[in-house]
Amino acid sequence: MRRSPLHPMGLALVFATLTLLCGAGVAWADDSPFCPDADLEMSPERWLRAASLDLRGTIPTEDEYAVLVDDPDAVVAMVDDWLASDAFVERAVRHHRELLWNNVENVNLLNASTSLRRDPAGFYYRLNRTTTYRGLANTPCLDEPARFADDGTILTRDVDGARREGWVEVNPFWAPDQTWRVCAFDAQTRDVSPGGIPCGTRQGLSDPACGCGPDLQWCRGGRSELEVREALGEAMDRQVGAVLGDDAPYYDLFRTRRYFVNGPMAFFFRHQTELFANVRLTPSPVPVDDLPDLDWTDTETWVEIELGDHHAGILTNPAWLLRFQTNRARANRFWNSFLCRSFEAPDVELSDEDRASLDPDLQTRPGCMFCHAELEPAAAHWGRWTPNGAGWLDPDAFPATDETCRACAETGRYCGDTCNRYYVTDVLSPEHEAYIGRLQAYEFRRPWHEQNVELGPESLAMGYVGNGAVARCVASNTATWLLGRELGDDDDAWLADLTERFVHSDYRYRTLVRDIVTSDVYRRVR
Amino acid sequence: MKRLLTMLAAAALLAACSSDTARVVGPEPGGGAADAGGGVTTDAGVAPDAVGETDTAIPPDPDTGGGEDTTVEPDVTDPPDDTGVNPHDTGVDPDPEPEADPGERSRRRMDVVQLDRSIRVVTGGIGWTDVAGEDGPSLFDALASTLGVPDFIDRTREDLSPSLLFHKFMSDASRSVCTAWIEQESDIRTAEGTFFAPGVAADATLETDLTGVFETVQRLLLRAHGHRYALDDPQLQPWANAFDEVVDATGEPWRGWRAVCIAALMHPDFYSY
Repeated sequence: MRRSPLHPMGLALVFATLTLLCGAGVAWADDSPFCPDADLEMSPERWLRAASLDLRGTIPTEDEYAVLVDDPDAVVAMVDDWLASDAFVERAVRHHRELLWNNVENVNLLNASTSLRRDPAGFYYRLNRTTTYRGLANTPCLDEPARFADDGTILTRDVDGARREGWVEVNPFWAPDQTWRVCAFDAQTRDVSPGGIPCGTRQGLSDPACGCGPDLQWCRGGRSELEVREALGEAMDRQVGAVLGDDAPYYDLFRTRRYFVNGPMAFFFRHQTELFANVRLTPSPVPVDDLPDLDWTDTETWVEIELGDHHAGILTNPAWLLRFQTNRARANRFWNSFLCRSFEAPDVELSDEDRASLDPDLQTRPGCMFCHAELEPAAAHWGRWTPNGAGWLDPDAFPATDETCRACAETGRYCGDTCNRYYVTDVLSPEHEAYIGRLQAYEFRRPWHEQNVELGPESLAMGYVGNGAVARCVASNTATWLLGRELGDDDDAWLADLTERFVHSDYRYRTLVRDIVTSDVYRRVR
Repeated sequence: MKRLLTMLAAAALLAACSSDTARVVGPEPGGGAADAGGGVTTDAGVAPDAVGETDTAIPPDPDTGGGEDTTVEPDVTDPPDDTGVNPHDTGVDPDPEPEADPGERSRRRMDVVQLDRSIRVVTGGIGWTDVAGEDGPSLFDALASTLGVPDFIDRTREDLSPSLLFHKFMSDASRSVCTAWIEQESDIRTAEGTFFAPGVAADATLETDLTGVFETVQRLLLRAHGHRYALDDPQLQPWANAFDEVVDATGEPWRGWRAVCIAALMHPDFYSY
């Protein structure tokens, strides 16, 4: 076995030292061949290399460098080719992840009662359901095959004070080529219990006549839930990629109805959204009837579907809604990512009277009003998208004012989950009374802001597209990405020029990126 | 022994960072090998006639009179002028507005995707995997979080700093891929090879094929750094020196090439842009 004469940490230290010296601008190191180029102006080869890394995620080949020997100006032509490639779309999508934060892997989509636990004997059961099924907590079934009466009833034996059945063998949906032994009560497959409870719902989780359903479709095991979370994040990447890949106007990100689902997502939307914990994707944000006929195992198969007119591209993408679970958070992220603004109150001393204010309307409450006067009407644009979830509150089913909810709130009767969750039913102050029975997004809305709830996030975004704020922010974000530094006051004129060209191109992202990569600014590196 | 060799390599690299290049053994301009009468040097001694000038003499600019002081001093003996025209006005604004600085990019470290793909481009397909030289999941992917890739839950910005930890992993990566690459290329002496310059034998040394060694360095620096150096460019010299140092110490050219390969991949001109 050949062994290196150079110890790895030794090499690392040598190069780290050199990098630090070069970075510190130590005079004798600056001109060294072991330090980066001291010249600000890049050679055509280094320019090509930088552009290739930014636009394709890799360095040029020898053949590509060879083109420059005869034609040093060929860089621009190659940049154009790369901008039209899938590799560029991939890089642009990667950049947009930093704006969208579309990772929902920490979001719990399914109720804990859907979890299958492995008994040391090797079979599976749901720990949270043992009392429901067997009359005793923490009690699994017996490690033996289940027995059934002629009518299909599961037969049990009284053991240690519990009604205990045996197990059956099942091929779970997430691993159809595997056979799992699952306690017979947990593996029940009926759709509706004898008491009329749909088994694939939260209510069904408490019904002893309901189980995990065919192929355990109402339960989770292995990586099944994580696969859905990962897919929801990737679906947003694909939505962004679809717009940028077509070189459609950038503002289509806020308008597109294109959406992509794979096997786990189709399965989840079809079978599992009613088994929620706290985060709900009900009423379904996607047209369930239009979902493609994919198996769970089709993780790499992505099918495009069209969403309803109420959708607003990335701003109502389930990953966006689940990553930012309050309407304020949704508006705030839009402000940060697409307007390059943040909500920060000025440094103002409040009077004692202001501090004592209990005004429930944050738009007028001293101190809060600096941000919330703008934030609250903006957040109302997501008023028909459920907080703590990604459900869509269709106006036909969820009118702006619900008389039932108003009546229960005013009479003190129990209002039910829908009223309590989506309508104003708690009167905490006299100021709330005017909004009883109204959809929560209408609370404290000024009359001229009420339309925001029904217009949705597309209206909000397109307003800022129209006044140029989005264009300037996108140009700034993109330049920051490609230059590797924040822009300063010295860049204002250049940024204004970029923005203008971006707008005149009808928001073609490739044009913006091309303008930056072929600029003098990009060709100088420090 | 390993420590000694490490120190040697480090010393060679650090020495190269100084303005005085200790040894210059480059081929003649035009690609020819240095003559046998002292053009090749070893540790033991540097032939005086082989030491070239690394500081290129800048010829005088014919437009400015060649090295003369071109500062224009006003002639204070000129008589006063009452025409209202300043006789000292040379037409040159003495306090000109500074030229607008077009700004510049900040040098950035590659992210893990760029590193993985770029190493494969340099090596002709060899990536950093569990088993050197074999296909498998990229270790850059496995170490993505450690190397700064955000998850957008706990961390929302990518950390692209060339930290000591980054250098440690780059050291691991470059040792792995360079070992596999040089071993593979040592068996390829055809045009399909990606490391050695065409026609250069894997066991070539400065003594046996000076030009071939420089051509191979030249090719490597184009592939890895995007620098197109002429064969007589002084920038090639330290790399050839590093190769020679290791060959001298080990007697095995492949080790020399591996050291050069590792140095090239750990160089800021590879991992940053």
